[in-house]
Amino acid sequence: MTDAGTRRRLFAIVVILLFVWGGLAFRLLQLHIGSPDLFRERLARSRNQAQTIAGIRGRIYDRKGRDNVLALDMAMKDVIADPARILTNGQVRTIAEKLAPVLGMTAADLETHLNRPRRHFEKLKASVPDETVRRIQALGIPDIYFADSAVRRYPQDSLLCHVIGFANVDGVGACGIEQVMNGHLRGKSGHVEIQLDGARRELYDRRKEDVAPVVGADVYLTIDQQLQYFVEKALDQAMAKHRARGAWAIVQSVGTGEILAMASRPAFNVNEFASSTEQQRLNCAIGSVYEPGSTMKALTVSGALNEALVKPSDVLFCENGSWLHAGRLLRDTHSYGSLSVAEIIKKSSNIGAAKIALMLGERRLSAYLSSFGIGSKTGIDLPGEERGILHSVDKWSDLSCSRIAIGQGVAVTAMQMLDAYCTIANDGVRMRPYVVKRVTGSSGAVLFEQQPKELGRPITRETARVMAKLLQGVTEDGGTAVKARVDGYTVAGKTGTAQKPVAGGYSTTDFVASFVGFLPAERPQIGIIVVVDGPQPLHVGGLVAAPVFSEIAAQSVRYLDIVPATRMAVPVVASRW
Amino acid sequence: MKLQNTKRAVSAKGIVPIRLAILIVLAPALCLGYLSLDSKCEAMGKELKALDREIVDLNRKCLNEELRWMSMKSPGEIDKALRRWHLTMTWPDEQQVVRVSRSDMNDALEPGRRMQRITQYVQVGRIRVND
Repeated sequence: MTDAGTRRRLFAIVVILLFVWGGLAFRLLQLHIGSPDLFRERLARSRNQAQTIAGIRGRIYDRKGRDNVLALDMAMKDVIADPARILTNGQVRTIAEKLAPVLGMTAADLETHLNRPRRHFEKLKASVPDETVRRIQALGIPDIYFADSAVRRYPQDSLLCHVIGFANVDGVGACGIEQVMNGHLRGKSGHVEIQLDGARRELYDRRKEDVAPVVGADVYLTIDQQLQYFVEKALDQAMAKHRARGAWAIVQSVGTGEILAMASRPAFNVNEFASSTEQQRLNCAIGSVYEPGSTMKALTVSGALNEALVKPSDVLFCENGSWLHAGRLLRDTHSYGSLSVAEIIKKSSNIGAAKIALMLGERRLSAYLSSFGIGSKTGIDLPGEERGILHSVDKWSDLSCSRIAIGQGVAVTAMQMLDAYCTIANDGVRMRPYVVKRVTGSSGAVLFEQQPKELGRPITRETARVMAKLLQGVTEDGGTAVKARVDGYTVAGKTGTAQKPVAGGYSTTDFVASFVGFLPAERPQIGIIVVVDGPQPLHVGGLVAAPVFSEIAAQSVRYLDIVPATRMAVPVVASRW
Repeated sequence: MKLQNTKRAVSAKGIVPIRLAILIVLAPALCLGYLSLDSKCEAMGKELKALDREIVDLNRKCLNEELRWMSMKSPGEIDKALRRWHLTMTWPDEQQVVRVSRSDMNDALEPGRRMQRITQYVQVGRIRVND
């Protein structure tokens, strides 16, 4: 009886187990074989999870390389809230009041964010630093989370702001080098595809894809941040001293066209670019055109010297300071009788330069100015370069030749004018200015290396050397720019004082003062231009811009260890820049 | 006459068949083994995740420190720091720069000429600052 009962029970258990296992096996088969697509899709959707890992943007360095970082991506945190849960717990006001001072927001703003009952994900503040994260964590607020994010940071704040530019909130370069080199700088996003178990934990052995993000390429500039600092400091002092509307300056390597410094005022803090104005963001050094005034005379005289129409010793009558030509009076600042060509440059005689231009003729003057790069972009690797204004000869009036020769009726950028003077300094060879030295990938491989590029030779070597000598006279006793001198060095250059064009003529109160030159005059290494817009009350290039030039040049030659021409015969062992 | 204990033998054989017994023992053993491996994998996974997180955090800290360092040693900040401590730094005049030429280095090998050069260099004027 017992045996029979036990067997029956065992049989029953086996049957039940078989039934259960059979049922499970059937369901398993059904899931795997019967109508699989629907289940597989549903299962895959719930188990598979794809994550995109943002790529890291490359860095920007100055010419010294890795020691001087100008732009880099910073790891930050976004502050996230779960408004639905916070509302359910009735914690909106408490949390808003606790978080407001830490996040630098008002409690009312935070309440607006948190009063969203259907949302489980609300970004309260993007890109907060670690310190803020720690402070929030210390508050112990539930339903507040953090998500990784990256933000572009510029350690130098406003230094070099116009050249570096900035990347917008989406990580896309929107200005300056950030914009023009965006293709190299932007990284490549990574991708991870994982599978989760029933408890939503990752199954580590089932990672379908694990592609690490690619760091963008690094960009090395030709700019030297220390030199840039000298230039910006000098411009700030000039702005304050002369109550100027704006000021800009460039330092260029004569032989290669490398830009060593480029600054523009007003400036802005790149880390807070959103609060800057369009005017602040304008890189005036390449994006602002102005009538150059007397700095144009050097190009006019260069043309005439190159055509052998005049010699430095040739004497021209300067009409005692007032000359009626083509029905309009042309005046000199001081009355001069007869001046040699060298003196015309040294004393900046408008009448003398105009007469030389007339000897050269419209077509040749236009051709020389064009070959010096006036009226066309220099091709610098920065966005926003203006081409200036140089009308074709067909549109010139009877007056144009004499006026364009002295820098009226023509507009240039500071970059164009400096490049033209560097052409004179470089024995007549015009170089393309550039700011990007090289680009290297994250592995260190050089992806791109900029080589100096010749743009042409507007004048012969002999003419260039004669012109350099004439320009040297400008900073000597009796010249218009004695304040541009640098102790121990010979300086060649030219002042410019241009009245600003207004409706129907030229302003008598608004000027652009400039000085452009190079040094050492005998064997030029660097060219510098300084432009001051709307200086008050002094407005003459020799008094406003020349001292700024001197300040920048004096620091630059020492910093760059440029040997004065008088000591150049000694072969130098010390490392050069 | 010796009696056989047939009841015990029958009941032992009949109640738990040997294959079922093996199954009953093996199944939990397999389950326990699976759970053990699973928990080990889980622990390793957690450790991996924690280490990943640590790398990310260290990178973040490194970046933050790098940014701070770059800001601190920017020309503007150095200038401010010098002013704060009333330090004046100036570039030497061209006349105060001693340039060593290749011929100087050759001279240095000759003791007589070396002394002459040293005397020449110590006579170079100096700027007195921060005294």
